[in-house]
Amino acid sequence: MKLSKELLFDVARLSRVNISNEETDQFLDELNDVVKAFDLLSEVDTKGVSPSLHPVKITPKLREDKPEVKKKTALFGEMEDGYFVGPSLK
Amino acid sequence: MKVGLEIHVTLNTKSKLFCTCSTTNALPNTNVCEVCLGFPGSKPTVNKEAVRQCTLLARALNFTVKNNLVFSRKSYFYPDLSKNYQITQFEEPLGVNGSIIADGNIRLKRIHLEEDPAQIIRNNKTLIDYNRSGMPLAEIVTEPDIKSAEQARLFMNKLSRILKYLNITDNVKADVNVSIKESGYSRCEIKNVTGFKDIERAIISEAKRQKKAVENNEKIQNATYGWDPLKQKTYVMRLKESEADYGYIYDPDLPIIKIPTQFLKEKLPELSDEKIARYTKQGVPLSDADIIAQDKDIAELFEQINLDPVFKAKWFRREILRVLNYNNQTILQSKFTKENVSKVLNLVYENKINEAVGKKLLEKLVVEDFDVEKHVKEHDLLKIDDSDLIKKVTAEVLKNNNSAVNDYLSGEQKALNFLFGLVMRQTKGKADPGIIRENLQAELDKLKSK
Amino acid sequence: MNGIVTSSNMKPIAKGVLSGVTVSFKDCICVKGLPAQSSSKILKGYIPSFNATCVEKILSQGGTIIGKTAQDEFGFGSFGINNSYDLKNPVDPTRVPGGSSSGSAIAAKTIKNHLAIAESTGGSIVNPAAFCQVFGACPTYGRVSRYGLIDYANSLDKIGVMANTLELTAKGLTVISGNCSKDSTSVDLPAEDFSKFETFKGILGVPKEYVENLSPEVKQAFQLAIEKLKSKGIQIKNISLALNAKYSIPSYYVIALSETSTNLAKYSGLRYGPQSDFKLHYNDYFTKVRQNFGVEAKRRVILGTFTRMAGYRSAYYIKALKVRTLLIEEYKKAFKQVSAIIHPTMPILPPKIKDTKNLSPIEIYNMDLLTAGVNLAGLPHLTVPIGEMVGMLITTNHFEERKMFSVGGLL
Repeated sequence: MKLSKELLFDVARLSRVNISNEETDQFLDELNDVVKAFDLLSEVDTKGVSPSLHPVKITPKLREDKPEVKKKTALFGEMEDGYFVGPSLK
Repeated sequence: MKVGLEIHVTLNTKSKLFCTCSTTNALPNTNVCEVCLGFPGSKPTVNKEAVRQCTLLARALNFTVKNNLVFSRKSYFYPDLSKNYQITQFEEPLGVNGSIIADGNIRLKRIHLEEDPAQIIRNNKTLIDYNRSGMPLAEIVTEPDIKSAEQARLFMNKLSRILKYLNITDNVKADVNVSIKESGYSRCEIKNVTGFKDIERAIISEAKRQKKAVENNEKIQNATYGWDPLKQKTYVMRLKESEADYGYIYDPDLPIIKIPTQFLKEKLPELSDEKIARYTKQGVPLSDADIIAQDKDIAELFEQINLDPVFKAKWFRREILRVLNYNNQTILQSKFTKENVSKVLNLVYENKINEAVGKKLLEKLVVEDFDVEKHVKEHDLLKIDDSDLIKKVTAEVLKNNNSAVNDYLSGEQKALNFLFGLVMRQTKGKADPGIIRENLQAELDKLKSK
Repeated sequence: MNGIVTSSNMKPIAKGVLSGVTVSFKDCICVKGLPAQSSSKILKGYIPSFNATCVEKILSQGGTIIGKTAQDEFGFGSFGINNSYDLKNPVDPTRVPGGSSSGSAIAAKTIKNHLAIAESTGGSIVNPAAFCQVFGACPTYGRVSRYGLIDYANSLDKIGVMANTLELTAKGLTVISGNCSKDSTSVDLPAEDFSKFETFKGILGVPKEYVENLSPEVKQAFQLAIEKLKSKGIQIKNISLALNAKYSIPSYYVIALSETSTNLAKYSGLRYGPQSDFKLHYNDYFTKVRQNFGVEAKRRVILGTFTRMAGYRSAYYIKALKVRTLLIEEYKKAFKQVSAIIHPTMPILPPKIKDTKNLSPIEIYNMDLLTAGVNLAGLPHLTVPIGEMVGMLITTNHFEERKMFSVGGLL
């Protein structure tokens, strides 16, 4: 599978990462080399194999519904009247 | 018309879905911690009670429920999403293929657990409150089987009952999808409509808007709308772009968790529909049964009272509810108890007090509990069925109200009610109304024939 | 340069097995009140208000915390060059220290009686440990709580230790291990003292695919180590890890990058870290703030977003998870024949710093060849120094850390 420039820009936009015009060609080549290596996976016969989300079997306990009286969590970033300030929605 | 709903129910837990922050109302950004603020290094843990409530809700809605919880990350960038991904259940929702009967069968596609994003207050600036971030939600998605706003209302009434019966709040928001036949079912979505009433209004408003557009030969734009609850109107939020790519992965911070067997097997409380069926089998009229079973606490009190079902149903439906509504109280807030209500209804049933007296007693009992028997004795409220006494009072009333008598004799039926009221008043409301009427009619007939 | 980028002097809250030992933490591990940047500009100014679980454990066992150590940005790197610190190998300063837990290895090597707490996703503990000639132990996945670890890839990240002696390494790993209710991926097992290991009795396996293509220095050091083991009467067997040799790198990277691209989404200039102009539309705001990512981070975020996009997700993300199952099975099968697996930790000596400038991303990723498989499978692994800047990797089955240390004790 080879990434096109358009696909690269789509993915960059989706992940809110900026690639400058100068970076694009080199990025494209480097990424395509990596994707070529990823494509090796298609050689493996995985019929009937279930995915391993974790490498060992884990049986976590569910948490009891008890609210914790919190020490005030340190808040950073710009705030106003107790609210966090964020970028424009328009 | 085809309507599909994506409903978000806030579950009734003390702590959030993935962290130990409290879920109570609080000043902005005070029920927050490193987990729901998305601070690097924090990790989610799953709230057991949220799982219990969502599992019971799924079972009450006839969903096929999975044995395991599998969580996914839904990635998108928005200022209200503290991690810029939402922990939800994409690949394997908790339940599939449910249904609600509301004037027809409404199929439910899926139900799953997910966390609420934060709340954005829009002023000139974007202000964000993370108290809501991480609140536990159950999302229910319907198939577009709802065919009218009326059916939508019945559907939501049913859902609301189930939520209240399971003690899950009925704090709901919905994304509403509406399409009409006239446009070939071109679909528009109204996002984030809060509350059952507004959901119904939004459906009506949107259907109207679409009909008008078709009449004016306008194309139905495939857009996303918002609902303005103050203006009671839809507004365009954005033209729908191609489906956002959410890049789902299984959440690697949350292994597959087995749902506790007791949640899957624990007996559900008897729900509204089952109560209605049971009451109607006992002879209670359907409309009475429906109204009583609307509220689980009223239904419970109803069942505790040992009386003829048809009789007590009539009193509950008409008097108990009236008195509660008038005082703006729920049954649990009122002073009604099994003892005092039982007493009053029994006295009426046994003909020991008048219906009118019974109603007045309930009006008092809703705000103050007292010994009913004692009160009836002290205030001399027992029914008078001494026909001699009633005859005497009737004669006196007729003697002192010639003009009313004459009105009746010249054909005015209303005068009869007036005279009846006077006799009742003279006996301080205690005389048996049937005997009064009998006497009155008899005396008046005698006069007529004179 | 001793690898420490933020100094501190946090006294322990109780005496214990680490009394008198100084401890450092890789910068991605949260220590309350100390900056945690993961060597990234996008986390400048972030000071966690909570301790990672392993930090609490260290403080309650007598450890004194002297600082945070340098690393490759977010763990992205195999040489220690993906950061702004100009790190050098303490054994040969013209060479790289390895990565991504570069500072940890430098500290373990240069500071006396020091325990460096580090983190591994694809080999980031044993790689720099081998290159800097110290002991490095990475536990079974789930053995040590990840609470307070700034994520690279959640199903692969493991916190582990480095030190100058086998005993301190084993003691340190024991202290930080244990079930944690704040980490849903933490396993619940009874406590074990890994430093109390018996003499190893069993068969060691050498995967033939992992001893081809070694540089001459590494080949020689490994052969000497084999001879030493044989002279102690240990039986050594040839085994094959063909699937892992060919597919562990792609499977590891697809999974790691898919997970990390979602982990790095939260870095968007809200609530912590460098901020930008709030008048910007949010998409532009986020993109502007995320200019603070280094080039490698951008690369990995883009790749990881691609591998889980609709249309590609089946072929890459889901496929890699399935291949992972087969790769783990291959290791499990091997452990039926042998008690532990040994091979060089890295195929080459640490490269000269100047030679790394022109390596392509895929060439760097391929450096993880000998460590990706064990990390993907969550197996416990230990590197012991066997030559100048050469280490030998010892891998045992899940939760067999004591056996792993007993093999280390043979050398």
